Amino acid sequence: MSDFEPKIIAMVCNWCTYTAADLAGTSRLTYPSNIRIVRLMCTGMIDAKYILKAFLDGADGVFIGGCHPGDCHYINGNLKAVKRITGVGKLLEQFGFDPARLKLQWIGASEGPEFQRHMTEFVAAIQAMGPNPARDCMIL
Amino acid sequence: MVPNNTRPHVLIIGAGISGMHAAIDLAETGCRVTLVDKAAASGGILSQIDHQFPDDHCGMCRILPMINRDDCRQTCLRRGLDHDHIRILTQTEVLGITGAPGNMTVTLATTPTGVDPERCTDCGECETVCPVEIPDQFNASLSFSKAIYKPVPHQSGTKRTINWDACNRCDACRKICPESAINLDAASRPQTLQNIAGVIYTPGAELFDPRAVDLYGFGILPNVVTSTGFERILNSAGPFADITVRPSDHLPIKKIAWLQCVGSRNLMLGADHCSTACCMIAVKEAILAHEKIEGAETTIFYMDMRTFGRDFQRYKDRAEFELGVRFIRCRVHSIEPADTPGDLIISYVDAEGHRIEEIFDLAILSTGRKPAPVLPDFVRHDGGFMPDSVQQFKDISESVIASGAAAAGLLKKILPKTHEKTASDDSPADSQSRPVEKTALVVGGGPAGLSAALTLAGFYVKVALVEKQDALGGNAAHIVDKDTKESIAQLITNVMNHPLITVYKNAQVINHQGIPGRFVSRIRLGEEGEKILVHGATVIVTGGHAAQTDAYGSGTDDRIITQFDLEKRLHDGELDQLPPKSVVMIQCAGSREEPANYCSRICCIKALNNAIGLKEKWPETDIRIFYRDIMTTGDTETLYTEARRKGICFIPFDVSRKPSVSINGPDIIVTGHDPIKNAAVSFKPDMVVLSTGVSPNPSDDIARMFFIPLTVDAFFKEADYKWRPVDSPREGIFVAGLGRAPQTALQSIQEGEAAACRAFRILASDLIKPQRVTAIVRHAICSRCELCIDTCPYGARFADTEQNRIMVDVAACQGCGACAAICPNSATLLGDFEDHRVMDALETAIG
Repeated sequence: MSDFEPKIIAMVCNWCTYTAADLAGTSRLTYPSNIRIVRLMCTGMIDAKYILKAFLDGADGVFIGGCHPGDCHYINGNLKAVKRITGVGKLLEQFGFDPARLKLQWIGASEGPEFQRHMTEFVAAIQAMGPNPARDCMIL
Repeated sequence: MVPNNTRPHVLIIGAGISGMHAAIDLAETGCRVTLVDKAAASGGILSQIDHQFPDDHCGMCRILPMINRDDCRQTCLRRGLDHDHIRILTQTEVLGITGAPGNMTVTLATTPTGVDPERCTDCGECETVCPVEIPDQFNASLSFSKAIYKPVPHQSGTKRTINWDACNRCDACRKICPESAINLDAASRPQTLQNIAGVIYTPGAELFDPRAVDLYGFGILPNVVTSTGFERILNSAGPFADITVRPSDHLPIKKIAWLQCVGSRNLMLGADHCSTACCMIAVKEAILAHEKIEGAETTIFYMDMRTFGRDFQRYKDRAEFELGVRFIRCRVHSIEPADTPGDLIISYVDAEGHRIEEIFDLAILSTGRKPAPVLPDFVRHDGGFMPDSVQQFKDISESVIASGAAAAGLLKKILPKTHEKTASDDSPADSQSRPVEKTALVVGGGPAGLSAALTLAGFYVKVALVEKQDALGGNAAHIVDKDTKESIAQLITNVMNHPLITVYKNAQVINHQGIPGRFVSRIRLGEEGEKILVHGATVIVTGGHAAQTDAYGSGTDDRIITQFDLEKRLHDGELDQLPPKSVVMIQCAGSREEPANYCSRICCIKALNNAIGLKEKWPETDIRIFYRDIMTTGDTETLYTEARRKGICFIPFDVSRKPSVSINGPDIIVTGHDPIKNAAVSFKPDMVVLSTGVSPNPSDDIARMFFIPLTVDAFFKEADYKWRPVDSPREGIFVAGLGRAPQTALQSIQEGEAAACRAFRILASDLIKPQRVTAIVRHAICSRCELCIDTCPYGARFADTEQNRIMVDVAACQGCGACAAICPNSATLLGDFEDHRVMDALETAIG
């Protein structure tokens, strides 16, 4: 499976994880290029349909990065995200996806190296899981 | 938006948290700010520190503008502040200032960075070839940086800069630079700013260099670090990457000791001051250590644990009782290297007087601030400048309040000349824009209320001041200190005579509705019926009162009195007939333990003042003070020193071993435990004086009416303790004074000013306009399920019953998108992040 290059969507919040990604970049930390970052204002605005859309369109994994609990710029958006994403995880199983393809992680603004580490680990985990089953079949 | 060139131009010296906060407040109220700092990057000490007490969180971005958000880049402040109306000049010093507030001329000198920011592509070749290695200031000298370096690695916009003192002009970087961006000419460039309306001076405090205390081996023993150094070690982008190891051998850390008061509270060093924040910083670092290091063993050696803030005592209790942080009251004499390489021996004396030697992996010196520096001439000689943090070390919350008050003071001075200009706003209105009612309601007429009302009136805002009692001044009636009493009396006179302030005494707010910019309140006026007020902002300052307690026999004998009583008797000369020969004072009576587990902040200072007052009149009087921790933060430490010089005897006690007061015939007997003698002591004083602290006034009804949460101790809970201390969680409503947190009258006055400045952000403009990223409702498909109202963290969503619509309050909405995500019909959209845009972005990303 080593030649499998997954496509991974990382939906990150504007305040913490995006800053961490930026810091990882400016610190010249390298992480796999399989990650495609989509910046959103807050993890609390991530609608279940965004995650499902990503999987149905063929993403092999979805990573969601937000502020540590208590650090959210919008007070509690990240806590709303936990609830919603836990629910979506259960929904994914019914769609036939491994819920481990969806990961939520808190990465603070100054944690560039942590961003690198989580990205590398997640890419490796998805590589081990293989391609998204939706790539080869049509899900209605 | 008001064009930049018509705004009054303000200079702020020092771009730390105070300077940035003042700059943002001033920019939001219509000024143009030049923010200068002699350091190579803005952010001050906070750029090195990730977590703050009393909740271990960051949240610095919460000081960003909330009303005119589009003027400012919406990003984490660690990446830098980027505001349309704030120009930041780093590596810049102020050479001189001439003229008077309103029209000043400022000369600045900027040291060039040596790197042309237009050409530099941030490739980093220069840093690779640079042969010079110096201790990295950003990592508290725990790692090395080159002479061409990034001063703050996470400030993504900034390019590299050259440290001219370290650079040996070898020319290697200039030769290798593929863009020819480097210029090794270090001559500083002077510039003159004309027509500056005012200056705020917030250079911050310099930290003490512990090399001066040679017994601690800082600089010699690698595993002795400063508290800033430890914060860097904990940081995942710190000197040892994302592992928490000690400097000498990069081995894991397990046993950590904090040594408090290094460079402060030390008369031998000429430092008769407390650095205020270090106790809490040590508690926070111990908590962080437990989070990051499994099985960490943490010990804090302290003199007094100064948990002076409203929520600090509980934070410390959590560290002590939940995480097992050891607190040992002992000033450590010295740190010595152990036989095992890298380890440190700390010898100390425990509570029973035994000398104990213990081995630690790492020792952290809680370095305080240096003694306050002499202010530069341009600040000392002109009343138009407002230095604040430089004189007293402050925590974040106090810095934010002080800088808000300084901004308010400056605005009051400069507004008359420019008010017309700041108010003009010619951009077209749209359907979501709302006019602003330029009046304010102040609920409460104590010191904080008076100062808030006067400050707002100074901004040409009409103010209604509602006071429950028939007199203004709140607790001023009980204040004895002459200066404080006079300044409050002056505030009352000014309020009564101010043409823009209407005072309603014996009045109460009975209903309050609306949104920022237009609130409607119903006021019940004593006998005269009711009145409806329409106002754009509300300041709630309902105050507090002396706490009631039955601890230590309070109220059972007229020789057991409170500090308030003693202060009054001393002042009125009631004791002159029969001076007390022996007095026992007991601190923290009924406070700093459940159910009132907070420090009241004023009692230690009051007790010391009273004790010194007694000693001055009758030097023979025996005074003994039972205390838990003397909370003389900042320069009030001198009071504590003076009291001890005067022979006042201090006996510490622990909550588990409180002194007891009993009455035996004609005598009062106080017994307690003296830890130095390690024996019971007993006194027969003429008088027992209890420090009983303060409680907030009952405000359940106000809290319910204004939808403001209360803390467990019934203080008003602000939006954010550190970054937005005088904002309530609801935009447009502000809280200050004793109703928010225990504090002195002078602090209340300052908080009132800061709250007025925050309120003026709303009242300064004619219209509140939606920002780019604001929620929008598509009414045609909205089912009025009101889920959005429940989920909004800012109370920005409300049902308009007249139009039968769910609305967005554009002043309160911050664009988090929680409502858009929860809306089952997708009737709510978030501007710039509409569903179709996010879907498009996802499709493109997947490809």
